[in-house]
Amino acid sequence: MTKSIHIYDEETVIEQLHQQDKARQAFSKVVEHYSQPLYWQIRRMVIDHDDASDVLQNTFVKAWTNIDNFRGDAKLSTWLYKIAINESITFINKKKAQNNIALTDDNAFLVNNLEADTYFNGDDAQIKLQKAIATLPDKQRLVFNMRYYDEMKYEDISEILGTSVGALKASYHHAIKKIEAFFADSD
Amino acid sequence: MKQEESNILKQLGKDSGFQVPEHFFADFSKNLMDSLPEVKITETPKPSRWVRLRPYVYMAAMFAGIWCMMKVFYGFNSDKTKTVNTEMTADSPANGKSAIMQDQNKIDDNAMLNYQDSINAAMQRQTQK
Repeated sequence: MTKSIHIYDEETVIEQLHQQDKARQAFSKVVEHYSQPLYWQIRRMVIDHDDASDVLQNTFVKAWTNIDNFRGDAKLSTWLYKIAINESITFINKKKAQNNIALTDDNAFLVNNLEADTYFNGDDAQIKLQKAIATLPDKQRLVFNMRYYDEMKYEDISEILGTSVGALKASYHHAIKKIEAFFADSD
Repeated sequence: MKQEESNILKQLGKDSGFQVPEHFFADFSKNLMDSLPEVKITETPKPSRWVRLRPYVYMAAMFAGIWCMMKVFYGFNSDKTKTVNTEMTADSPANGKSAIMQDQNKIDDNAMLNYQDSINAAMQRQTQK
């Protein structure tokens, strides 16, 4: 079986995104290229697969309808991650409102049904870690997920979140301390 | 990054335990592309060669201008320096003395040459006789 290899040249794709006749085809390349990393970023925020799929769809629809505003000043990945993060946080806040949970409260409610999730096969330790991560404030959760799971550079996270590298390092350090404390308390 | 992580996280590893349905990403891309609305894209005209080269041309012109100004300034100054040096040569007593000595040596050389010439001329005249 032969596997087709898609060569993704971001510079060319960005150029084509601003041409009426080529934009849709170029955007399909963007979707193919970025759907996985964005999905996992969203999934770790919203936890549920169906929710993650909806948020990912909203992210790409928003990117497509605002493609005219993307002038290539920032990296395409940075722009898409920003949209995905905003959509994820908006989604979580809406869900909190639906469940009569204060916006300032943590996101523990998101992992309540993790054991029953069809698309989660983690063991008890992984469930516990997800519960620990859910207790973190949104920004710390984002930093932790990007750094720990995606192993992103602080410089790249800094571009996406608009926070200094120093503050991100401190945020990641605090997140780890809180996770350790969560594990220590629950033992 | 390894140093940043706690023992708990090292034990757990990077697998979050999350999964997706089979062919999810392939199906997602197809469904998404089918559902995207039409958008009007404002095409920005491609900048002409002159527009792209203009900053470099301006920069080159600026450096050329600076070079010309420096040339004019230093050229003018070096002429001035030459005049001053000449004046200094004539004015300074030490330099004046050496100039006089040089002139004296020239006169002596000329006198010696004249004397030698007259001897040679006399010898030639005697030979002719």
